[in-house]
Amino acid sequence: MLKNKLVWILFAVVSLFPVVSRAAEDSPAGRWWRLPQVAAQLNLSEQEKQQLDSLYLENRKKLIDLKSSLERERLVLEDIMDNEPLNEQQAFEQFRKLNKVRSILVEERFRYFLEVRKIIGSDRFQKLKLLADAFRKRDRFGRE
Amino acid sequence: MRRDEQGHLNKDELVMAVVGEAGLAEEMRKHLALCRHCVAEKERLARDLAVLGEMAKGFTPPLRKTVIIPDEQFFRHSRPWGWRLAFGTTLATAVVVIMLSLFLFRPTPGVNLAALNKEMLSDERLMTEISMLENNPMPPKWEAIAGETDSTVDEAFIDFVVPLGADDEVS
Repeated sequence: MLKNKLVWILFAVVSLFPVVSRAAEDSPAGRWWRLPQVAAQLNLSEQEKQQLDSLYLENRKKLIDLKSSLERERLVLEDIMDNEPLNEQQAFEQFRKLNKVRSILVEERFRYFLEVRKIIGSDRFQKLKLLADAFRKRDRFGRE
Repeated sequence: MRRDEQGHLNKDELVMAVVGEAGLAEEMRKHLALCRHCVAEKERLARDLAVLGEMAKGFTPPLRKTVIIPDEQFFRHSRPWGWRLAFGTTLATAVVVIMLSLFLFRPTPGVNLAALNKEMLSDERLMTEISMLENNPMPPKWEAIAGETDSTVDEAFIDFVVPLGADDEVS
């Protein structure tokens, strides 16, 4: 019963977590700036493309590391929750740890979005969002 | 060839006397200067040789082609539009063609759409997983316990995890 309550509490905290990266979730995946039609529509220079390449590589490296960390912390939490007797304090501590990694992950996604916005500027950023919507409606971004 | 008893010049010495007396021995030159017979023989031989030369000229066809000595021939053939120019032109053309090919057909990064699409799909999978983790970092097996809606979980499974009326038994 205690475990059930704890699980409920953990999920309540999770659901209250602010979704900072909502906009980032809507951003197209991959190196969309390398698609000829997108690059042409946004009038991207080769220098900007290279900046986006570097940003993408760095961001994805961090995201992969953070994802692994998050999964590892989740596994530890799962193990704590399976222990008998249950150590409630330890479980919460682990959950906070997990949540911290998660918040860093969300922040990193948002940072990527922010950097893209800085590289391409306001106007093209708005255009990119419209393009992303349009492409998403065609199933996938830039693919048919 | 032996000389006769009076010490006159033999045929070889007469020929030498015609060609150039300097080639004769001192004794022979003195003899030639004093001996009328040898002088007459020498003059007769000279005349015969002159006649023979004239006859040879008559039988020799006139030269129609300029004789070129080897060195001269070499310099004449080394003019700029020879083999060297042909080789140089071919080489230069080959270099230009190679450079143009490299420029025109080089693999430009980002233009390979197939590879780019594959990469985008892979990235999309990664980002979906990350999004799922962001939205819910809890272990997936807890979703049913917490009442998370998941279309893949049917009621039978929920009944199995949380049997109705059995709350008190679950610890």
